[in-house]
Amino acid sequence: MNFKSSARQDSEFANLSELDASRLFQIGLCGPRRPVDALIDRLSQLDGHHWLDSALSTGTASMFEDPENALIRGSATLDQLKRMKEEGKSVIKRSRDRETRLNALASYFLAIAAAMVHHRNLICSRRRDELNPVLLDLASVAPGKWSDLLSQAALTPDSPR
Amino acid sequence: MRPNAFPTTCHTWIGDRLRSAGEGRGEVNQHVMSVYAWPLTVYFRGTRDRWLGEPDEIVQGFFADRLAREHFFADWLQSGLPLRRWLMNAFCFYLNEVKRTGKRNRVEPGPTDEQADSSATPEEMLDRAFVVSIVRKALQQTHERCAVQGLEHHWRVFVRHHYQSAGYQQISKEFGVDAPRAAVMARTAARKFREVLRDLLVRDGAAPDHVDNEIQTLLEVSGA
Repeated sequence: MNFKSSARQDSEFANLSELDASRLFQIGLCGPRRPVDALIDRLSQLDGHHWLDSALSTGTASMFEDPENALIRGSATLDQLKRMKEEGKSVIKRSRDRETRLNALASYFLAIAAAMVHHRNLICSRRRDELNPVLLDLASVAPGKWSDLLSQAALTPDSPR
Repeated sequence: MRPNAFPTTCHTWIGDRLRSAGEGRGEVNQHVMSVYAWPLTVYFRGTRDRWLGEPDEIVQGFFADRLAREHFFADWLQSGLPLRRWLMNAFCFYLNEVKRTGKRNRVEPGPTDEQADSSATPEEMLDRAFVVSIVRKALQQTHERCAVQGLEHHWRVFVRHHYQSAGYQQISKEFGVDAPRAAVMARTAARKFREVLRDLLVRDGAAPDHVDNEIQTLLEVSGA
């Protein structure tokens, strides 16, 4: 066994400083598990994209004939989005079925994202510094067009309330 | 007679590799050398024994001697220690053996009054170097994963933002994507980096439920 060559390090990061390493090391922190992590896990599965399509056609978002048109292209009014968000919140609280809760959670966040992108309006009580990481986490596992909506929402400033 | 088999209750990456036939032991040794050579080298430089020889050669000699021992990792798992501490302890024994050999060969100790580079203890220096080494390893493995999954651009955006501290507006110009998309790309690669990093800490002996605690502890040692 060649012990010398085995100990070589990846050259691109050979000069990584302690300071840089500490900063990157903090990315490893997960913190307490959030309710949204269950949705992120579900969307991360191989059939996650198909699952979201199905969830939007049967869950709270089905109040719109065409959820894509309403949420992505912005045809939904602010009041409709608030109703969708409230309905999602209500289902999350009262349902004991995991799938139903995940479905409602997806609608809840998509309504918030659509209100942010198309109406510049924050329709939930969460602070932006709490909400934005959640939206970006969801965007990193959501299908393309939904990912775009969520990521744009995270970086869209809301109007002063 | 000591048990020959690796304990079947130890469902760790290292335990699994050692129980498997073929290249398992070699994979474990490669992993240990690639992650722990640098921390042990830094540790050695911080001890009063640094007159014994070139740090790289001493550490390689240690690996050659100890990693070939059949029960080395089984003994580690039974110790309950983090692997880096187990290796450090074993390294201390090895240094004593080298010193004894040197005495038999009438090799005189060199000067030890030279100050070490840091006011930190050798153990703290080992932990700091371990953070650097494990982050470096995690970066390398994350890059490989991203490449296999066709996410090379995600990887580059991650490096630009998290390592080189470039803002998303700047990155969006460099990569021809809008800033929100760049943020998502960085986040996708960051999730993979987090998974790899946490897995490496579990390989070191951290309980999966306590990885956050382990990170916090090591960050405190690092002064972050």
